[in-house]
Amino acid sequence: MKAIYLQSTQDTPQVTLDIQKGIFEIKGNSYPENSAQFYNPIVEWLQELLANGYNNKLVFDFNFDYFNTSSAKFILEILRILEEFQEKGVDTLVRWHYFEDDIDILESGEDYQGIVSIPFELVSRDDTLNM
Amino acid sequence: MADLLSYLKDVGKNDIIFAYKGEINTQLLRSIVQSADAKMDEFGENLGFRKRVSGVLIEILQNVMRHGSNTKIGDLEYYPVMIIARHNDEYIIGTGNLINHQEKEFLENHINKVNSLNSDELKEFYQEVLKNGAISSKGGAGLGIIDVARKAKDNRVNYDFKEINNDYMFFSMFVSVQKPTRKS
Repeated sequence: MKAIYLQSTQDTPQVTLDIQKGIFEIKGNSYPENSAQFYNPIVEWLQELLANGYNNKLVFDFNFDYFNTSSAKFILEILRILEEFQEKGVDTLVRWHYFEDDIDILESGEDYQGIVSIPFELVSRDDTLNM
Repeated sequence: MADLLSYLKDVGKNDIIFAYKGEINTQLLRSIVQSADAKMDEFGENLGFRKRVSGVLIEILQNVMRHGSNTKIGDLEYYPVMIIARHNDEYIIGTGNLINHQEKEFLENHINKVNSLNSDELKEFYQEVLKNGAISSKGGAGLGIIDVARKAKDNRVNYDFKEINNDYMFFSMFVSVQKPTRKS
């Protein structure tokens, strides 16, 4: 499958979905006006990967600085698909990164951790970021 | 219900970071977020707090963008308004925009429900709405207000409706955002 590489913008995150390199990552800010338009291709890509019977280890990194509530729904949709990988026997891990001072991103990670049943790590980082 | 003007009566003009009247679009939203963040940085606010204030700002303004498309009633124009002010280590974010009666009913019920919940109940309500999908036809404004309340002082979203005519009213809301503290 063709990899997805999206550059970040002020209100959309950097996206890397690359099977060859084994990188699955969303990183940065996410508050586009139209979240569906941004996230649907990502959701569809993952659904196709699932349908294709992908069976290597799948580590998905969520590395948000900020996301709005309409992005929140698509993040859950992505996590639901990752749950399906897990159910199919794929070794799946979610790593939820948060800046150490950022209680809100940490707690939103905990929210998701409580909703989905996949191995889910909360990973603290200490760099500086921009809105 | 407290209205924004009386809440702002102790706020000096130097405390106002941004005030605006006019249409709000994505371009403007981006630059407001950037300049508010730069201003908070000047005040020495830490990154977690800046991101929280910016997040609340984004939710509220995107709400106005979704609902605030009508501005004209007869010859009169009612543009959206917004203000960001800093007062006693809190950031006050207020907006106002025209809505119709149907929207009023949804907003009033929803905000009243949100205001009746404590922070643990808000967390549960947030998860419930997140799991069960949109509760509003206009792109899930429901989740936005819950999120804003979770980050607001006393978990409270203040609002006011002023009747303009039989069809329309001016809806204003404001919240005060405080530094995040770890609850658990």
